[in-house]
Amino acid sequence: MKLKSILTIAAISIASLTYGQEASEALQISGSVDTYFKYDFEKAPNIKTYFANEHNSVSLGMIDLALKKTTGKASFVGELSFGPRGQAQSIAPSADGESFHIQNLYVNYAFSDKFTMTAGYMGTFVGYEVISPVANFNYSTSYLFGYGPFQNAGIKGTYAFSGKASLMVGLFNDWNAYQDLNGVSHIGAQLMLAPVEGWSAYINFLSGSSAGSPGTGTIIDLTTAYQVTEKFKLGLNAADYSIANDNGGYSGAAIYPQYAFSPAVALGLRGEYFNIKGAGGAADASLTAITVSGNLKAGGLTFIPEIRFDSDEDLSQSFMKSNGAATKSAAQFSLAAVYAF
Amino acid sequence: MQISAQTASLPVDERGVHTFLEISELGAAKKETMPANVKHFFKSNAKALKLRSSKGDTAFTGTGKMILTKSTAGIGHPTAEVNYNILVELRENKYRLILTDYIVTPYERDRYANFVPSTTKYRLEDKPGKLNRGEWEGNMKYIITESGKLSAKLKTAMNTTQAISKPEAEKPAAVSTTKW
Repeated sequence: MKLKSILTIAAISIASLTYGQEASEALQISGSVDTYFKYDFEKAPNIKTYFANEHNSVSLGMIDLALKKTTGKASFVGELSFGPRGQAQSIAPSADGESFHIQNLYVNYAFSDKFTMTAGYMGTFVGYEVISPVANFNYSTSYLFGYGPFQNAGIKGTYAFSGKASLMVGLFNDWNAYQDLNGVSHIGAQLMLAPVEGWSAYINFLSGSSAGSPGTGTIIDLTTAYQVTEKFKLGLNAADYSIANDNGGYSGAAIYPQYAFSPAVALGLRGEYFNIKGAGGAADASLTAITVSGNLKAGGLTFIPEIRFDSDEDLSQSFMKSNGAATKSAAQFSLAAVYAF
Repeated sequence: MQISAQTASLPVDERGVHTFLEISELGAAKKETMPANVKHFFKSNAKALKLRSSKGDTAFTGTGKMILTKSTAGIGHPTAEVNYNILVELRENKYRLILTDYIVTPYERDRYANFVPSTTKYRLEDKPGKLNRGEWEGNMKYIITESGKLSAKLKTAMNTTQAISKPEAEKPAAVSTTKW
């Protein structure tokens, strides 16, 4: 009898939910394809930047396909990627060693204009740069990006106080993990502020103990960008990550000035300082990197010529000269083509 | 003025600003209902239009927004939003619609594969370079089409009498079920 009542209530609830649905929007499909050539001036795999790491080769990034559908207050996003950038270089393999090819897979429900909840596997909310080459200005990525999380699976709620401020709080798996082997173990939050038009700032927090980790790891991250003038944009990312009980971490900052000569031509610089914290009393190791990139756009296609100089003061990156001798500096040129649709 | 989506570009006004302008004649019978119909038009398109001010019952000024979508066979994604000023002026038995000051804000992909407004925006009058002429022309064609659709909606609203405020129907007198 009880079961019958529960089933009746469930049926009525589903019926009223269905009745309350608004018209669905058309299915959105978008994506990108990217490829690149990179040349290291010492002919060695020196700068271990994510995604553009193959010397003197016309190499693949990924093909990326994203689907989005909104029906009333509910929506989903499913984003699949195939290729080195979208598989082994950005997604941890599942238990059987295979990649699921998934960059984003989540459902979202807007309870009101102000409050939404999202659950699934999502691009991380931490940091300035992202996996998709369409959403980055530079093609190579920063150390802050490479050392930080790529994706966070979890459930989160976002409350918009106004168009100028919102707060997200959520529970998450270990970094980049489809399945959390030690239970949902991380708590995260993001405060978004947009004080004036063209300026947005995100203060991010993510803390938890990953499976096999010697301690609780905590990231505090600031990501901000300001469109100073119609042509000049300035971005900044600063982060600190510490694993408890002197188990290392990192800290750093990167600045991103970009100037658009026209809607089709822009030049941008990334200047980064990065510090790898020594664990168990070991010394820290610091790096600096300067990257100059152009963006030349023709319709959906963007060419990204780029030159990058890295300085590895403490020899933590094992830079080599062409004769195999250790060196503190490295430089590379790359040309990438990214097509977005 | 009749503009079709085949037209390469919207005409420009005295300021050199791209402008959609349409003048329509209405029958004398519609004169009384015109102001109410304009208000009804703004109200019924509240998602896309905001009425900012009205000058007596002859001029209504507001702002509007349209979303440009790149699609083939109904499948695609939003690529930009266009904000503009809207003016509806009434005179005798006719009205004119002006859409002008189009500002295009391109959309960019965010980390969650959503398309959101970028921080850059440009006026429709800003000439594209050779590399982006195709995209600009696509946007222009879409804006002409959407402006035409909005004009058709206004025409429908102006030709209806539904917006006339009708006196409330007389309520039936209350009845008592306790006394009889």
